[in-house]
Amino acid sequence: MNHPEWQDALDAYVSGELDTTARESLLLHLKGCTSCREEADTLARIVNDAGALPRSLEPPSHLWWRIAEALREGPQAEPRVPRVRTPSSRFRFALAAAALVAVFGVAVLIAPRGHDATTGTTANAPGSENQPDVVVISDNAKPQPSDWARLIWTLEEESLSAEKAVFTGLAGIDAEALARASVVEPALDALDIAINETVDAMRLEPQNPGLARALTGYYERKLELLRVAARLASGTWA
Amino acid sequence: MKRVLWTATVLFSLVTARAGAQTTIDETHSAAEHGIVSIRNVSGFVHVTGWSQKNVRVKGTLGPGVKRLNFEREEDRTRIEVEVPDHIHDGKVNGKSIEAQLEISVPEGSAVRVDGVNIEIGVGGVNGELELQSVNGSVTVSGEPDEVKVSTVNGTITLNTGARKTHLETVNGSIEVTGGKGELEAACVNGHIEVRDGTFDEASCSTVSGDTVWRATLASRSSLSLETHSGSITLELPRSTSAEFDVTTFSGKIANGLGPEAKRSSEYGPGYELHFDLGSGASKIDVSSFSGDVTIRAR
Repeated sequence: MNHPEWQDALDAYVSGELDTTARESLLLHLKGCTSCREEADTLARIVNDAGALPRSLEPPSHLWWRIAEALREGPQAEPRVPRVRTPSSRFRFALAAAALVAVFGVAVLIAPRGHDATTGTTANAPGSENQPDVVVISDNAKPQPSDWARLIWTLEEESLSAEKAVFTGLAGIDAEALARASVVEPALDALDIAINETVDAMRLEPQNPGLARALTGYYERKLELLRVAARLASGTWA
Repeated sequence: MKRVLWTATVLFSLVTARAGAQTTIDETHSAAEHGIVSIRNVSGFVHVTGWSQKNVRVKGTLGPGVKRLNFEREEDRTRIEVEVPDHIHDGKVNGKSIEAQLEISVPEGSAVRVDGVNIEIGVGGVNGELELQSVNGSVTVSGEPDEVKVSTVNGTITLNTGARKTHLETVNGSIEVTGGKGELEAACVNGHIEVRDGTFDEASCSTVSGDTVWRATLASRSSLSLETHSGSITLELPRSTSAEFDVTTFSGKIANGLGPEAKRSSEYGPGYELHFDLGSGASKIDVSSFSGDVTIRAR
C-alpha cells in the first residue's frame, strides 16, 4: 500500500465504522489509487474470513448479538426460557418468500464510534447510489430496525430457541443418546460458519438479495438439523 | 422356532432369533405385483433387488440380540421389520449384536420404503417409487425406479438410475448421480455433489462446504440452480446448450469458457457477476457461490 496515511480510514471503512465525511474523502482517493483499492479488497476478504474461526458447541454468540451491541440496544441479557418451537412449514415458506422479495434501500444500522450527533439523521454520500443508507443513531434515539434486520432477528431467535431447547434436552440424557445426536455437530458447525460469514457480508452489501436468501436457507437447514438431533437423541428416528 | 399363520387377507411370518447365536433366515411370501414393501432395520444392511416373480423373499442373518423378524402382508402391502429390544447399548443388547443383514427380492413393479439407523441400503432393479432413509450408512440405487427419495445423515448417496424425479439429502456425505431425467434435487451440508450424464428438466444442487460438479445435460427450456457457500462449482455443458446464465459470487472468482468474462459486482467489493446468453437462452441457469470459485467450460 503506497499511502499508509489512509490505512486507518480503510480499516474503518471495511468495518462499516467510517463517518460520512471521511468516507467521501476515502472514496475519492480510492478512485485514483490502485494500491489502496487492492488493500480495500484484501481487507474485505479478511473480514469475511474472520467468520471461519472455530466455534464451540455451546450455543454460539451469533452475529446479531454483536450487531445489537453496536446499536447499543441488545436483546435481553438472558435468552427467553427455551421451549420447543417447531416452525410450521407455512412459517418457513413465508420467511423464504420474504427473503426473495428483496427490500432495497435497507438501512445498515451501525453506530459510528465516537459519534456526537444528538438527533438521528440519514446520510447519503454523493454519487453513492449503490451505497446503503446509513441511519446515524444517537445515544438517546431508538434504532429503527430495517426489514432485513427484523428477518435476521426472527431467524436468529428461532435458531437460538431451538438450540437452547435441544441442548437443554441433551443435558440430562445418557452418553449414548448424546453420541447419536452429535452426528449432526460437524454440519451445525459448517452452517454456523456460513451464517456468520453471510451476516458479515450483509453488513458490507445489505442490498444484496442473494445473501439474504442464502442466509434464510442456512437458518432453515440449521433448524432442520436441530430437529434431527432431537429425534436422534430421543431414539425416535426409526 | 418358526410359526406360519395363514388367513384370508394376511400372511404372517415370525422368525424368532435363537438366543446366543446368529439366525439364518430364508422366507418367501406372495406379494402384489405393484404393491408397497416397507422394510425397517435398525442395524446392518438391506439390499433390495427387483425380480419378475410375484413374491417377496427375505434371506439373510439376524444377530443374536435381535428379538424377531416380522414379515407380514396385508393386501398390497408387505412389511418386513427387524424387531430389537428397547435397551440398546453401543449397538448391542447385553453384549449381543442386533445387526441384521437382509437380502430382499421384491416384484420389480413394487414401491419400496426402507428405514433404518445404522444401515447400508442398496436397491437395484425396482421400478416403483423408492423412499430410503438412514442415519449412518451409505445408500446406493441403480435401475429404473420411477421416483427416488433418499435421506441420510452420515453417508454417501450414489445413484445410477433413469428416475424421472429424484430428491436426495445428506448432511455429512457426498452425492453422486449418474444418469436420470426430469427433476433432480440434491442437497448436502458437508460433502460434494457430482451429477454426470442424464438429461434434466429441472435441477438444483446445494451444498454448504463442498464442491459441486455438473456434467449432465439440460433439456430444452429447463432450469438449473447450483449453490454453494465455500465449495467450488464446476459447470460443464455442451457448446450447443441454449441457456441464459446468471452467475454471482460474494468473494469467489468466476472463469467462463463459454462466453464473456465475469466482471466485478461492485467497484470495491470482492465479488464477481456474470450474465450472458448461450444460443437463444432457452433454459435458465443460476449459479451462486459465497466464497468458492466458479468454473464454466465446454464439455
